This record gives sequence, structure tokens and C-alpha cells, in this order.
Amino acid sequence: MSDALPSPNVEGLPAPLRPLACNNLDCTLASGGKCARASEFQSPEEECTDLQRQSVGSVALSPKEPPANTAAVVSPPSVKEARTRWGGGKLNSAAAEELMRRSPARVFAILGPAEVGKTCLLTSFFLELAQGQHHDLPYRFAGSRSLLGLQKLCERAAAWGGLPEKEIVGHTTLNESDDASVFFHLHLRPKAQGDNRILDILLSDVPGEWVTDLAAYDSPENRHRLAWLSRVNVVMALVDAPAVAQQGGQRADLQFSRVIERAFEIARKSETRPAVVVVFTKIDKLGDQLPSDAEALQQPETWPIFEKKARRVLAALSRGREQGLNIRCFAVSAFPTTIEGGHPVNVMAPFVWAMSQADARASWERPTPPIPENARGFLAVRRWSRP
Amino acid sequence: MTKVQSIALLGGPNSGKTTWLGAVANLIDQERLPQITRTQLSADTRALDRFVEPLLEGKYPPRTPHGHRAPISLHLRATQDDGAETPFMLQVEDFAGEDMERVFSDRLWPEAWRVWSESANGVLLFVRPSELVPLPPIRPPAESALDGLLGPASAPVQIGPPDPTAAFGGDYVPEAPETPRASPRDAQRVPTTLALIELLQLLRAQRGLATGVRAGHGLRVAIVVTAWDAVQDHKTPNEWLAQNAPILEDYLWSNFATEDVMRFGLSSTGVDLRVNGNAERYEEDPRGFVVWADEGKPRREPDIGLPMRWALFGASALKTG
Repeated sequence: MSDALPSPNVEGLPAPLRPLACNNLDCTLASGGKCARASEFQSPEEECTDLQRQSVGSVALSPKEPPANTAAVVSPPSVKEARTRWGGGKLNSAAAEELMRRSPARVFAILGPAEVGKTCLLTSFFLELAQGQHHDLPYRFAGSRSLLGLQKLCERAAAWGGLPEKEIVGHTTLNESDDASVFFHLHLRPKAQGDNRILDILLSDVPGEWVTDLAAYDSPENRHRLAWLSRVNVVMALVDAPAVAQQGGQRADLQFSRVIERAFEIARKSETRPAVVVVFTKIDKLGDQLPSDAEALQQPETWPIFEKKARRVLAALSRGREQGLNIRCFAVSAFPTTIEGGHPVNVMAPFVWAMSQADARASWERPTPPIPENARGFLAVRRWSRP
Repeated sequence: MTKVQSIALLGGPNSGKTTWLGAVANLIDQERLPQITRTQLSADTRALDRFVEPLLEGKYPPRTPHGHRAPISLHLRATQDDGAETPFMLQVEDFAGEDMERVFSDRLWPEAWRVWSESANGVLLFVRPSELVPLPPIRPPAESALDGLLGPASAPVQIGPPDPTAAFGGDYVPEAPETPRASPRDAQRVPTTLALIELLQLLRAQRGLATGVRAGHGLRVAIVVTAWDAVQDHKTPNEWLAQNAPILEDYLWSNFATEDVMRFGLSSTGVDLRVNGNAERYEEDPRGFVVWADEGKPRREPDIGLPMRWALFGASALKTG
């Protein structure tokens, strides 16, 4: 039987008088007057985003959607349509929290000032995942509630012509509301046979200005806005490597060292003991000034170019290690060329390591009970199979 | 009482759904579709005739317009290998490709889709190679400072990768081969199957299936790679999909039981009707063909109804081809 909503003739009725409908299948507010989330809302009709008024030419449209006289423009009158169950864009903190309540989601805080390449890193990671380049990642894509948002990022990246002065995926901007949408969502499934878990991955994408504010002043407002930082599984601090290494990069060195230290502080204070990844971005711009050895690329302390230019960043790293934090450094380039020009450099590596930490599970040695001499039957078989 | 079986044709604009439907109906009329015969004429044949008539003139049928609901009911009989006959009523929904884009972009879900998604036996998901690869051909990038950085990646972290050969022996052939590792200079491709994945996610949610639940013998999904006569460099649709739509393969692997997913290469008309002389060729032999992987090896049959029979009856449909 269909759960299709009844379609009364609502034409001519003002919006507040149109019948109610709810996307939540458990809700009977429209039919029986009882809201499935009554404990969360004082006035479900005004606060619940699942609850909608039917409109002309469509089964349901949110009351926050265009007013009644423009609803007909939204969809052709001959087709009855309802909103899909999820919006397809980034998840706001309420949706993320609901998801975290349902499953132990792995939350990645990706931190860095504006233009360091946070969104580029996310886009490049998703592009690699989508192209099946997850050979080193022990998971496969299993779904997402943010596919539309990710598709838009990929399209923007594809439109980038390769000019360094042009933005690749655009600057992330969000309103200042507490309920801003900051998470891209992924479902991942372990490749290992027999591991039937589905992991929810939340990847934060916040404006660089928020991170700059946080790095400079851990104010109550910032803490409120970024309250989810207290339960992250991975803190990823991004450093613009060429900005630090360039002539006059002292200011950048200071700025990025602050971000790193704030990231360390978040990791230290968190009960979840998150892994810390420090990602040095845009390394294609440094060319042969970096070591070619893959292992040396993970140790910025050994980079000659950083020896004098990145003293604060290196000192911050050193302090973090002294504090016993679980830190790993990676050098990446998310978009060394246009996307038809080639693949990114090392973009999967930080996520591979981060997932190995975020999804680390204690393994116990298999019990080996002592087998008595001259044992027979089942125990003897055990003894025979375990030399 | 005749059992009602329903399948839906889904796919982006210009993915070949309507052509397949017209070609199948044309063959049913001529009783040239293996193992499927019509038992009675539908009360209303207008919708179907709209797809068939252009093919009789050697032209492709017009695309299904946006918002147009084209439910088609056919009273058919399937003949199994052992001679057993199963009468059934096939209900086919041909959803406009633009509607699929609309679900993805505008987040508006037609009521007809929601109704259908709860009861359907199977989905034929149409993808057309020329629509899926929108990027220009690879051009060699200029030499850059990047060259020194494209060395080996950092050591991979291994958390127990699957090793099917350990369980099934060296002859194990995976349904979907692994996507080859790209070299740094290979062109990247923007995923173009995300709308299809979103649709499958919505269908599963509508049927109450949580992400990752592989309900055996549940909704069958046949991925139909159309215009297969134009595909030159892949032997099986499995290879083609692994290389060109890996995220769709990952999604299917993660969410569907192996027996509920099948990949077909399809040429509904066998030839490109736009090429001179091919219309006549199609008139002489309108059977078309399908290709699928049988333990990794390509198998080709002049039976374009096979994806439909598989969606309705599962693996038993593949035995005789």
C-alpha cells in the first residue's frame, strides 16, 4: 500500500489553512494530532522541518518555502510531488547530532584559515573515492546524504581552468546561525569480508574565518558555534606549505602555528582522544624544494625549506608530540593541475591513516586454553589444528 | 489470478530507456522475444504504440517528456527451461530522465515514484556510455614542478583487505573487477552517476531498507549499459562499469546482495539507426543483442528481453539465454 498523501483540492486556500503533511513516517500529527517529535518542539507546526503544508500542484511544501501564490511555479500542476527525505546538501548540526545518536559516526574536524584548501581537500578526496581510487583505503563507498552538495563541488572543480588566481571550488560561506550546515556525509563499508558495519563519516567544512577566530580566541561564542569539536574522532589541521615557505612567510607561520596549537588543544581536551593529522597543502607549488622520498615528505622537520621559515609551525608540532598526542603529518596537493590534467598528490593518505585511527578496534589475542596431555575428542582436534 | 510483476526503467535523459521499451514491444508483437509471449492485448495500447511506431520507420522513439507518467501494462507469459509457463502482468513505468535529475537537484519526489518504489520487483537502470563521460579527451599536461612529487605514495595502512581467493580458490572471478589504479597523469572524471545512486538511496529508504542492508532476493537491480554496439574497448559491461562508474559499483556492492545485481550491455536495435542503411538492416532483423559476463567471460545473445526476465525471475533467466 502506498503512503502517498491525500491530495485534497487546496487551490484557493491560504497557506495556513492547507492540510498538514509530515515526512516523518512515524508522525500522526496530520491525521491524529500527535507529533512524533513532540518532546523536542513546543510548537511542532512552527518548528518541525518535517511538517509541511500542502500546496497548489504539489503534495507538500515547507511553510518556509515560497508563499502560496508562487507554489505553482515550483512544480507543474499535473505532477504530485513531495520533498525528498533528505536535502542532499551539507548536514546541519541538528541532523549530524541525530545521525550520531543512531550510530557511532566518525567526525572529522578539518581546520584551517581561509584559502588553505579545506574544501579542495574534501573535494579531491571524494573525487578519488568516486573514481575507485581507494586501493589503500579499506572501505568502499556505501552512500551519502550529501550527494548533491558533493556533486556541486565536483562540478565546480571540473570547471576550474587551472589558473592559480582563480578559485577552484569557491570560498565556503555560512550564515552565523547556530544551525549552519557544516558537514558533508558519507557512508563507508569495510572491504573486509565479514565486517558488515556501515560507518557514518562526517567531514566538516567550515568557513576559514571561523577557524581563524577560533585560533585567535577560544571565545564562548566560538565554542558554542563549534560545539561538535568536543566529540570529533580526527582533527585535521591544514597548513599552506608555500605560504609559510615563501619570502615573508613569518605571518603565515604564526597564523598556522596558532591553528595547529588550537587543534592540539581540542585533541587534548577531548574525551575521545582524537587522532591529529597535520596536512601541508599545495606542495606542487614547492616543486623540487621538497624531498622526493615519501617517508621524508611526512616529516616536515626534515624539510630544508622549512628549517628557517617555519620555526613556529615546527615548534608547535614538537610541543604536540611532547604532549603525547597521536600526530601524523602529510604533504598533499589536491589540485596540482586541472582535473583532466591528472590526479591529486597523496590526497588519500591522510584519510587512510585517519580512518585507521578513528576506526581502530582493540583486538584480543585468541584464547588458547591449555590442552591436557592425552586429550581426546574435541580438544584433541583443537590440539591437532593448532600446532 | 495472474500475478502482477512490475519493473521500472530509470536512467538519465537520453539513456535509451524508451528505445528499449519500443524495441521489446516490437519483438513481442512479432513473437520474436525468446521465452516471452503476449497472452492478450492491453486495453489501451496508445502509450506503447508511441514507442513502437517510430522504430517501424527506422527512427528512434521520442524521449519521454518531463512529468509524463507512462505506465504500461502487458499481459505476458514466460516459458521456463523446464517448459513450465508462468502468466504474469508486467507493469512498466518509464520515468522521464529529466524527472530523475529533478529528484536529485530540486529534491522533489514524484508521488508515482514513491508509490511504485514500494512494490516494484526490479529496476532496470539505464546508463549510456556517451552520456557518462563528459570530459574532453586526455591531453598531456605541460611539464611542471609536480614531476618530482609524483613518486610512490606513503605506505598503505592495511586492515585486512578481502582475499576472496582464500575462500573460493584461485578460480574465483569477482562480479565487478577492481578499478585499475590510476597513474598521476591520467585524467580525472567527475562522477556522473550520483543522481542514479541518490535515486537508489531514496528507493531503499522508501522500502524501509537501511544503508548497507543486503536483503537477499530483494529488489533486483539490472544495470543496463546501452548503445553497447558502440563500445569498443571493453569486453563486458562489468569491466566498463568498473572503469567508468566505480562509485556506482561501490554503492551496489555495499548495499545489495550479489544475486540481486546484474550488469548487461544492451543494443536495443543492434545498430545505430542514424547511420545510413542501418534502418533497413533493423527492419530485417530487429532483435538487437545483450552482452553479460558469465564468470568473467562475455556472453552475447540476441535477446533484449533478458534484462527484464532477469529482473523478474533472477538468475534462472540466464540459464538458457
